[in-house]
Amino acid sequence: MHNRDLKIFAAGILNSYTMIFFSKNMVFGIILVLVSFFDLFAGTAGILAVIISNAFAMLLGLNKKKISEGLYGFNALLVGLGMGLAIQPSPAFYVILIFITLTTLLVTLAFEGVIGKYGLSYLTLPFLFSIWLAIIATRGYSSLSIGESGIFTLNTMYLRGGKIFMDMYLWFDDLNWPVYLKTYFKSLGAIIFQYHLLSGILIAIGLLLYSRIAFIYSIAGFTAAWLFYLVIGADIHELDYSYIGFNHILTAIAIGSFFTIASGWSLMWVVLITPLVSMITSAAIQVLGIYQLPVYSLPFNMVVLMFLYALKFRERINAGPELVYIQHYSPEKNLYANVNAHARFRNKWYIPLSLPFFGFRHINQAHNGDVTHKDEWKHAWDFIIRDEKGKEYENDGTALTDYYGFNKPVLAPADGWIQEVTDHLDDNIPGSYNMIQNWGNTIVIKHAEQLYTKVSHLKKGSALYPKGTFVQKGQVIAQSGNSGRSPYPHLHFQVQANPYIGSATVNYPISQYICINGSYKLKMYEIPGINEEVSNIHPDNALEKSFRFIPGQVIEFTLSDGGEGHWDVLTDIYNNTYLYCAASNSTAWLKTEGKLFYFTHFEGDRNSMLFYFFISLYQVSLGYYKDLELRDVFPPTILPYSTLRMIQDFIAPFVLFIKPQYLMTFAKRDEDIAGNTITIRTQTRYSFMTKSLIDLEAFLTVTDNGLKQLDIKMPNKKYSLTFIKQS
Amino acid sequence: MEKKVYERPHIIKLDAGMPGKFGMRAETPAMTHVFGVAVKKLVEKHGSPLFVISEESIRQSYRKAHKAFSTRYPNVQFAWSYKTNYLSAICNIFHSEGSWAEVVSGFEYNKAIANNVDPKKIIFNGPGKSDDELLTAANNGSLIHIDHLDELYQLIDIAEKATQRPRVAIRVNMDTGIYPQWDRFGFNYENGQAWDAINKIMHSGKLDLMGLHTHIGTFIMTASAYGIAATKLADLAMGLQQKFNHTIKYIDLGGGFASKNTLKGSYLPGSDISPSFDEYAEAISSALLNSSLKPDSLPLLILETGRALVDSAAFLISTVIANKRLSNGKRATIVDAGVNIMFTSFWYQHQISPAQGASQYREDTVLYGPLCMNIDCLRESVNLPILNKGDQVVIHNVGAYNMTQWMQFITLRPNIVLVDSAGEVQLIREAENMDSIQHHEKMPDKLVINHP
Repeated sequence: MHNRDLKIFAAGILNSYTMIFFSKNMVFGIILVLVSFFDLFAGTAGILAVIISNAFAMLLGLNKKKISEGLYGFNALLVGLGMGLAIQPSPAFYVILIFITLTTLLVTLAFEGVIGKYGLSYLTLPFLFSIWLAIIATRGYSSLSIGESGIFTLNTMYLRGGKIFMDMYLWFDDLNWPVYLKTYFKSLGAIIFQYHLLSGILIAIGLLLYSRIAFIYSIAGFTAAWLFYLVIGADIHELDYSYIGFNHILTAIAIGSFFTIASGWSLMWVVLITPLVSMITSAAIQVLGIYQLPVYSLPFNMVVLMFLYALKFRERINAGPELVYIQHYSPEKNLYANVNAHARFRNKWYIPLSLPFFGFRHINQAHNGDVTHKDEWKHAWDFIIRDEKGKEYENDGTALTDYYGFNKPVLAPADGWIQEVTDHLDDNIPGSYNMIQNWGNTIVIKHAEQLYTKVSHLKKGSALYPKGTFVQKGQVIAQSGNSGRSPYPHLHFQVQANPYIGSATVNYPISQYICINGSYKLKMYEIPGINEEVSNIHPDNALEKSFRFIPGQVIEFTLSDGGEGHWDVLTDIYNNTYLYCAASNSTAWLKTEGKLFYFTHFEGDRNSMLFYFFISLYQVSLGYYKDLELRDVFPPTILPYSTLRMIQDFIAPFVLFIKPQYLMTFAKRDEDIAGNTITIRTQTRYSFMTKSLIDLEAFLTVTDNGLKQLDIKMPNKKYSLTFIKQS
Repeated sequence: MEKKVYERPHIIKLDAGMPGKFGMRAETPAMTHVFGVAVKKLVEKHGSPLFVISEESIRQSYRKAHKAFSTRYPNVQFAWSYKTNYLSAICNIFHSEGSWAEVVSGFEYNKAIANNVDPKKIIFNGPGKSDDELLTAANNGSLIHIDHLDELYQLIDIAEKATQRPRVAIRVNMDTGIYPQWDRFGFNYENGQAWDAINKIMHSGKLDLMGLHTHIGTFIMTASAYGIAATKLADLAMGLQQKFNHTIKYIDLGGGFASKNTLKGSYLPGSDISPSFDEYAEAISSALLNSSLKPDSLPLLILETGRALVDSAAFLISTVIANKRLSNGKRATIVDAGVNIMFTSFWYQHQISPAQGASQYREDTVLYGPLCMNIDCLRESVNLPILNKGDQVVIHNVGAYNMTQWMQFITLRPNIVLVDSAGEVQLIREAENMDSIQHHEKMPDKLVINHP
């Protein structure tokens, strides 16, 4: 076995423990291993089951990432723990354990195949099926004898840990805590078959370490259940006797914070779903009782899967509670990433449309215009060209050629196929209309199903391509003119869902554009308004080149204090590009959208240069516009962990108050035909009650040859990176 | 009611003139004001003759030209042709609008530097550049346009001494379908000289080939010629891309756009037949956009337009010295501006307006300058009303070349004023005096005449 495989295997063992709580937290894992060994035999059986299951998984050649994440181990672990507790260890038991584990793995794969098709997780269903199978099957195996540890608990304690162990156990048991609290902890312990207070407390600590959000949802779920039992007067001993209450805890963590983004909505559903868990529990006890089978986590599995499946039928997919699309195995990370992505990339579903012309144009009729952009055709723009005095023509405006907007290139706003072309209509003399063929010469381009754009009033005979031609974004397709209902030359532009000339318009934004309003403003996915001067973003070669990170590149740099380092540009199977610093094992994910560069996420060492690089260049405009300001907000995770961060974690589902601010401006540009040299200035700031938690200012200089110099200033330290190679 | 103009009694021959397509020549109305300032006042304060330039008019034409290109092509840069008019004030109006500088000598180069133009934004054209000039330009990172092979070898030598690799472009001449074909500047396209020069530059490894330049001629009346030129340069650029994987940064189409002046021998007035900026822009940008150059890496388009931007921004005010009748009975009027300051009257039939009211009667007149030289004739034939001694005439479209090609010959050069954007009149070049000329003269001692 390779060293790498060993690592995968070791991680797979620990993660099999934490995966029960949807976590990959190592400390939590160690606590769980420890607690599982409170019963030596059960613990041994548990860890053996994990090892056997993962070994079979490796042998079968299953996905190593999944093995290392414990996805093929946690069901086996639960089976092992359950079996180890129920049956006295013996050679026969261990032989059977091997095959029960193999069964669990196969059942796991079966569920993964069947349920996975619906985009759902198999949770602990494989455990349930396998352990029920084992229980019923082993009834016929006379060589196995029933385990006593569960029955004669104190005896077992004394036997395995001596008097101290037993006293400790008794002390915890005698604690005069409220039943509610004791039941909560014991229920937590019951998740790994350790029905006593100490296990529960330790697991609670581990849970808290793993996730504050998961912790409060566990309490919320349990409390909701407790109250429900009280209110309807149901048998509360269902909770405190068999500790079946853990179903409520796991359900609350799963649907409240793990599979959905923790929020007020998810909390509401936790409360609403709690009675369902109770009812299924009660019903299952009755039904399974016939076969003398324990309920285990059946209610949890049923409710969570049904609920998550139900969410998939929603039409408003972004309504609360939102599903987690990229699983970070941490409710906090999921939440912060989601909020951040909402703020930064909420428009990623749009097909980016650009403006259909070169240079700046004035909008003299926008959406819901006064003249013709009304009713079904209200989502359209009319573009004209004006001079400094606001006039759109020279001389007296009686000739078409007097108009600046006449006979100017019209571009395809995105890639697509020419769907319709009208090209034969005469251009009107200024002041007159053609009300019969009111759209005039028109081109409709199909970009996707139900996404068409239309440019109208084009110059007669200027259309360059016939129907069916594929045109690329920015390609010249015709010249602007004055045909149709157009008393003066202007370019009409609209987005529509149907392929016909004259189809109703749809409200669709322009992906990125520059708008002059005193100074340059960069707009993203907005609807340009009336009287705005707008233009596409014209990228600067130096910026474009410096921020074009091609997988396989290596970025080498030296530090002013003599140090040096390098980052690798890599890509993963999801086609996400990232910078990886091997020295600090840090990763910064990035992407370029149109003419904007983004860093999206960072994992690793907060003191590495890569982290500062990530912070400094969180968002960068690839077009140079003097006085342009780009603002952005970081997730709280960029700050080192502190009490404040902890408070934020607890209340994160409801209030986000740590919002480090990012600002990018251009400090300087030295123009040079051979390639401009541009200096970007960025500031990252956050302070709480006048106490500054982050204050970082960075200056990055780029040239046509790529990144050149990065100077980072913080109140107490300074770094200066000189990039020596980007290839 | 305005007081009627008194004209002395005179007899004119009844002459319908050459019957033109449009009948009798139209009379030009009196032009009492130039750029909103009274001619009389200007002459009173600044003397006669007097060049009057309008800042607003320059800015308007610049913006109009820029708009014509920038709305058709994504990346456009104008470079002010210094030789057209290198009065510093005029240059700086263009620079403030964003223009680079296009110079054709060491003197012009230094002038641009003195005007605080970023040396990297100076284009150095011209067939005659000295070693020192080339070295300075190379060290400064200016764009040197190579005119001939000798200059290419000269630059390769200079590259050894220069602090940075010289940035160069080659000048290409070509057949664009017009006559005359200019082939004296740069390397010929059709016979392969241009491609040969490109290869020499690329193989030398010592020069940075930044762009391609052509100057197809002057006062080009056919916009399509530029389209042909742009296509041929784009073709060279593609060749460079394919053979050397070298992307040029710019294509420079030079100057040559016609102004609204009327060339001698032209049947129709220039204001009617000269192509507009839009026509030039359309020809050039569609040629480049339709070429094989990739849409996402289109080179910068540089234009060295001079004449078309500045010609109509200046008038020359001149005062009548005398009237006389020639032997054939034709009227002749002598004004105080001669061809020494109106060099362009050799090429153009400048439009001339009286600066004060007159009756509707016009007479075919010869307009002479004050020089005691036979060539000093501003117009051989122009319809003018009766002019008295001391009256003024306004000569149109004199902004290009006159204030650079003028001569100190027989008379001294006059004042030049600028009507700025606020309407204020600013003196931007003082009239010359004796000292301006004598200053540089040296008198050998033995030739000094001392009266006892």
